[in-house]
Amino acid sequence: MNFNLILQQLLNGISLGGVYALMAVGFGLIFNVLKFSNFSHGGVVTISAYFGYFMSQYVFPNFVITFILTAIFGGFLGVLIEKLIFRPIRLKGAPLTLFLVNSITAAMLVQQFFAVMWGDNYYPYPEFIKETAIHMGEFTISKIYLLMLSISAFVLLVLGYIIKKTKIGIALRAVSSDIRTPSLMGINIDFVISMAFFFAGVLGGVTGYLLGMAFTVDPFIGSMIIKGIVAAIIGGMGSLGGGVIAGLILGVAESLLIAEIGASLTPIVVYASIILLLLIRPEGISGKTYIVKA
Amino acid sequence: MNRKIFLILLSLALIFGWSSALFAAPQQEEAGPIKIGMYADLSAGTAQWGTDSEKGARLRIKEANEKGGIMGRKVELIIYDCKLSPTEAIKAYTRLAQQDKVAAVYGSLISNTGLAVSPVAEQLKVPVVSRAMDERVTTPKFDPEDPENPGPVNPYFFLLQPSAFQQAAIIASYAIDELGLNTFAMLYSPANAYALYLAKGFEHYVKKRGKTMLGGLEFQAGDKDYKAQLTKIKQLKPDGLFICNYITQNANAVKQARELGLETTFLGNNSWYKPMDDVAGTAADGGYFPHNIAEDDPSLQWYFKKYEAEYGQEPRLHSFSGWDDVGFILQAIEKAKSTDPEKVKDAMEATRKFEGTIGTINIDPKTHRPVGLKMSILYFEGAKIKTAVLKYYPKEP
Repeated sequence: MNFNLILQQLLNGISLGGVYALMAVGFGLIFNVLKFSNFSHGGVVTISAYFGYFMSQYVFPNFVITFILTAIFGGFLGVLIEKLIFRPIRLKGAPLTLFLVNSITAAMLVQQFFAVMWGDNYYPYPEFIKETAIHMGEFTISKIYLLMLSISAFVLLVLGYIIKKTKIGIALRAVSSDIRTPSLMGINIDFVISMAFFFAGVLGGVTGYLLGMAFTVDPFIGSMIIKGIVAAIIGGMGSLGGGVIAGLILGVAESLLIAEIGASLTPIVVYASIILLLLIRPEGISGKTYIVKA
Repeated sequence: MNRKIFLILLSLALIFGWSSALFAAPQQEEAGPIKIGMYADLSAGTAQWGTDSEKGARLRIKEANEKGGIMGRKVELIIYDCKLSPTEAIKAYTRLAQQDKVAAVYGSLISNTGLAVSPVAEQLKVPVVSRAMDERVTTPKFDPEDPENPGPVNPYFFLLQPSAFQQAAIIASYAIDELGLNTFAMLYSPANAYALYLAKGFEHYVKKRGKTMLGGLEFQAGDKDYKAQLTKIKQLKPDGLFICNYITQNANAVKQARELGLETTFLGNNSWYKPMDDVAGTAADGGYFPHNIAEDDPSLQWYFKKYEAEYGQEPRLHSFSGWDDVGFILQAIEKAKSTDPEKVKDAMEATRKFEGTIGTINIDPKTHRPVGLKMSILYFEGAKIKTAVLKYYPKEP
């Protein structure tokens, strides 16, 4: 492989990694607070992708407006999902396994619902960006991917600020270290958890919109979340910064490996490496030491 | 002792009773409507193809019933959703054959489900008509390295369009003989039997014609980003790039190839048809692909009108498939003068000169695939699909 090719593959990998990072952060946020793997995040991504499509195609043909609307919509959707399927079992003191089961069921429900209702058509977003790539000499980088990467960096900064400096952030941190005690100190646990789902939902909304714009909407668009979950695991479950770094590493590793050994062998190498990594370092790349930990 | 013998005999009787009930060719009742089965993707990623083929099928049945039915009996379509899943397809086919006791089945358009149902059809002996292009669906021992010897045929499976190797030869021949291309690369998902066999067929034809295959780059079924593969292809500098997957994958591939600044002629498969123009936009411009029908084909205008009058929308590829494939089944039942699946199968095998919207179908009894079927070559210009040649056939098949 020559140098230019490696550099282009690195650019491809970093941009793809931005997508994974965005998903890893949304996924990691809920893991932080409630300590379960929230697969229903994929459902939020799917619904938001459709919402963004219908808004941009039929209501406001404007990128910025529909993007913000979809992000807010995703936030409220997250809150709704929490209230409908997680809060009732939390109040009953159900084991974590049940949260996991509910989250997987919700993701499957959303997928099947969209498959039956709108699965027989394709939904391309309007062409908001005419020239979709930035060319720098021989190299190119996709604008949508760059947007995803910048947004995940921006969101991480904002989240970092909220978590460290605001009351709700302090409450989130308190709840994430012990879900029962803060209520004795006058913290409204229900509200804090709703906020966590709102933030994660906003990320899901952003992810859905950008994925839909980059790849066309279909009922299975949320299944890309698996790569985000893998990134979250590598990063150290619950460490948001670790998730972003792991997302980028995963993207770059995939791009380089696909070019060298092919797409069929790449997942084998990637997943084997993850098992090896977790055997050596079960807490993931950043583990407990990372500062942004809600 | 006597009781033991009795129990053994009873068990044997039950086993034989069950197995004969399971494997006996199902018989349809001689009165009442003629039942035709269908399993299709009514949900899942290929749902548009499934629902379009259902509409075409229902239109054909409606017309047959308006003309008094077949052999004086009404025709009824029983349809199940197989959701692009091989196991769901097997379940649906088994139910159609054993419970619904249909005369024949119109199978899903997808090769992966066709491959799953093919051996079951050989056991349950109710013929299936399908668009599954992978050669192994009708000739299970087909070896892509030796395509001239297809091996034994599955007597109960029929293909009603050019197979993967035939379609690949058509577009490859067009690229070599009409566009003058010499070097090629491919991008496909090996998990999709249809894409895999198109790629194998394309490579086989290119090499047979003495041209160069620079590389076949693969991607995984759920992947949406192919930039790593396309970057490598860019470095190979092929004259033509064959992209042969499903619509969204093809659209994503051409969009990303354009982003990377790939300068090559895109060559596609029959999934490049509508709504690829909406999904890919101008990124597909300059791409050529083979297709069973062309919109400006004067001989098909009657069907456009008929379909639009019925559904208020213009027909897409598989709206034509549904019409043709059910028509083929109905003709076989009529010729067999029976709804016995065995006799219907024999009539299908003997079919010559069945006039479909796709062209004249002559079934090769050795492969159960049509012989000599031509395809139109279409291309993209300004995000619109246009016709390059009507009814093209490879210079050297």
